Amino acid sequence: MEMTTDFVHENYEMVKPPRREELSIKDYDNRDFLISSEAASPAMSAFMSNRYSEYRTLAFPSWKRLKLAGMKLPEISPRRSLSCSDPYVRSLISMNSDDVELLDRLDFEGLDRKILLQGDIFFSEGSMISIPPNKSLDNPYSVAFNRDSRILNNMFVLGENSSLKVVVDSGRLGNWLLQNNRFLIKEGASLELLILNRMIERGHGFINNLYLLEKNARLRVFEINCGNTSTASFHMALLEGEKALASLEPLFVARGDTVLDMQYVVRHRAIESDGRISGSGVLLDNGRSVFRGTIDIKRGAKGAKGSEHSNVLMLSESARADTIPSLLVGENQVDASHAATVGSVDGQKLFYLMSRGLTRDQSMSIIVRGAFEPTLREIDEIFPDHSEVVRDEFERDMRF
Amino acid sequence: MREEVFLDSSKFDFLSDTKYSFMSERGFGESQIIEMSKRKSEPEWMLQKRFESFKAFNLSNKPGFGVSTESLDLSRIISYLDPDSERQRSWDDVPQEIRETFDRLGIPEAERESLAGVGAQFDSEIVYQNIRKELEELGIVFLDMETAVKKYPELVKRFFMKAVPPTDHRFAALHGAVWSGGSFVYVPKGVKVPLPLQAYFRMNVESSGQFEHTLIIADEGSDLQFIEGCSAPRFNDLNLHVGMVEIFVLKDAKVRYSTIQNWSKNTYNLNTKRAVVEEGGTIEWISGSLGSMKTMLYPTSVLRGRRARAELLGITYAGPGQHMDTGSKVLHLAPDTSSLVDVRSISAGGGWAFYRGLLDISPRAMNSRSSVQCTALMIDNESRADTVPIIQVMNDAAEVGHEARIGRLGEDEIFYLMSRGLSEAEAKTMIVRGFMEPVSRLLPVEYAVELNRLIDMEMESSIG
Repeated sequence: MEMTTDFVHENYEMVKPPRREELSIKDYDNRDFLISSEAASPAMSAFMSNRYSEYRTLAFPSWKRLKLAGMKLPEISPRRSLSCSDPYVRSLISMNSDDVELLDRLDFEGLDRKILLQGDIFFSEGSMISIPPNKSLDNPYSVAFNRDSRILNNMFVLGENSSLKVVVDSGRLGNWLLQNNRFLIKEGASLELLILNRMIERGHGFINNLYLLEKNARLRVFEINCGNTSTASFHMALLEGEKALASLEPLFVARGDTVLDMQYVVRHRAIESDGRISGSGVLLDNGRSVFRGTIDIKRGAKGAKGSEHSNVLMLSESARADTIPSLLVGENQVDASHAATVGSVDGQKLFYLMSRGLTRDQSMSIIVRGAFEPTLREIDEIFPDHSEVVRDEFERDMRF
Repeated sequence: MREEVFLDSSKFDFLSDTKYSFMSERGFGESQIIEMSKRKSEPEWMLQKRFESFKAFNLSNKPGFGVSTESLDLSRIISYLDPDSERQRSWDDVPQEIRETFDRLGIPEAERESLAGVGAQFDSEIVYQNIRKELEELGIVFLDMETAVKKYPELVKRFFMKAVPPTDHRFAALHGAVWSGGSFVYVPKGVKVPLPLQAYFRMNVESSGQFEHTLIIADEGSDLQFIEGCSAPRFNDLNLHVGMVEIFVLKDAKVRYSTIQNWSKNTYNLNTKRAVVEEGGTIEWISGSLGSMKTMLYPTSVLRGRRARAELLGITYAGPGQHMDTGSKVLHLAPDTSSLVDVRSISAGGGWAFYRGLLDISPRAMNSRSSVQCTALMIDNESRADTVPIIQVMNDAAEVGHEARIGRLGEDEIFYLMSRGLSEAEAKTMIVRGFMEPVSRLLPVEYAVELNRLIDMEMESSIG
């Protein structure tokens, strides 16, 4: 299993942080498990039983910042059979043993092991998407949540030199969702991913994404966190092949009582691999963000480049921003850096715009948009059909 | 050049043949505490404080982060050792073996040349304490802690373990129960101490623990520089150092606290240092952590008054077999406070340098500014360098910046120096010295030379 942090170097060990306090809520039972594993292929059934025995040993974390106390899990109902005409998509529940082996290989700790396992077992919808080698799909593949499917579990395999765009959209409705997504990006393949978390009800969203990149593979992830749901998102890119490149570019707005707990990890295991994390966010009202960006370069990843950058703008005196940029380096022939800033709107910029006749709010809004604009332009270009939705969400959230 | 690179490590790694009038039983318990307190003829209130701390220790858990302390068996540690010596004010009166130890470390020489006063601690007790007469006349108090407890009970009661309460963490509690030795400094209002004061700590017995307590009170408008040095010879069994430094910087006062830590490579160094800074005050930490097997040290600045200011310049060296978990904490609790953290680490020969930082800007700390910079140099790819700063901002009128960079010795630089006739090792050593220059620059010249020598010695053994 790919752990989020490792605590050993040579003969020395670091103390592992204690597990979060346990939360007592009504959990799924054997009956729910039976419903979930119904119609599973033998290989998938074995996988799920395995995971379920681990699941039962763990409790949900209370996760004080996210205030999970009182959280209600969605009910488990029989899975609808997937009728999909897409030749590249198959149902996860009926996967054969080779596919399940891959699913097992892409095992990770995620946000929290309990929550990850929950997605692996109790998913209401799950697909395996395999793109053949050298195939380039122009239209993005869309993953959407509907009223009945609140837990998604997907595995994407991009064949050699293929390219794919994926859009995962929470939609605006609903107050709870969980998704596990695993991506195997083979040699020379390229993935561009847009994740939109924009539910407007108060509630909880959880994301566990793992990306494994082979030689010369490329990954770009744009994650937009807005709306009123408290979201915990976890993204881990494993650069296993030389010259693999991963770039994670989140944007976020937290307002009202929203809490965003975001974790982005790029782990370098290959020579000349390139990892970038670049986040920008705005906090209003009682909004709260936790931004953890980790560049983790393992011994042997010679010539690796890792950079991390985050900027948070505080627009309310009761907002709170936590930033934890980590740089973990076990190889000396590298170039690794991070930078983080937390601050408010630059008074001089504000003064300039107001001196030109704009109101304070108009000026603020221009400055704040400026922080997001470079990333938004990239989204316009890569995902032209979604750029309007993304911009609308920001318009809605950033009224002063 | 070469003479400076190849130094004799016996400068620190020697054992002196000292007699002890008392050695406590191994381990920690009430009987050891009572015995120790009795031998020090402490007032009852201090014994009670020790018990309170011991109670907190028994209720405490191991820290949930940092170096693993699995191999540290507290039941083997000798908590209290009393060298057979009265406290002396004249160097010539210090027992010969102890005097030789400090002579070899260069302490009396330093005192003559650049210090206003020296305290020298040998195992658990201060053996020598001296302050220049003219400074004493200004009302500056520089005493060993035991004497201060008796002579200035009100001041000690008011400040002792108030910056770091025993309930703060497990090792603070242990310290509170068995503390021994250390310095007490009081600088009266408006007095500027012209030369630094110094304390030197030396552990000389296998599996002993040193628990010195340093308490510094800089009254309003005063100015003080304090230097601390530590060393121990290498033993087969573990040694433990659980010291504590509490500094109270009152209104508009300024304190610079410099440390060169060079414990032997079998020492657990679990040290707590904290300064509470009032309005307009400044604390400056200059910290060189070179020795020990495992270190956990995070000098903390609590900026409690408006316009209070903290600066920390630190250098950590993690050589073969060393796990150094060092860092800094700055808590901004008042408006217009500012802090500047510049930490550097060098890891070589398989060492592990881990920077752990906390920067906290509270809701009240409007218009506060902070900048944190971490730089790590990795000499080879057996070693590891990590930085994990935590930044918490709770208001919208603060400016916080953080930057970190980890890299190797530049090949071009090494090539250039070698083309000028230096060997590869000399070239590397020279680059490393340049990397630490901002820290050594702030030390008195004798200490800067010492720091450079130590680094040269370490570099010599790990890059050959």
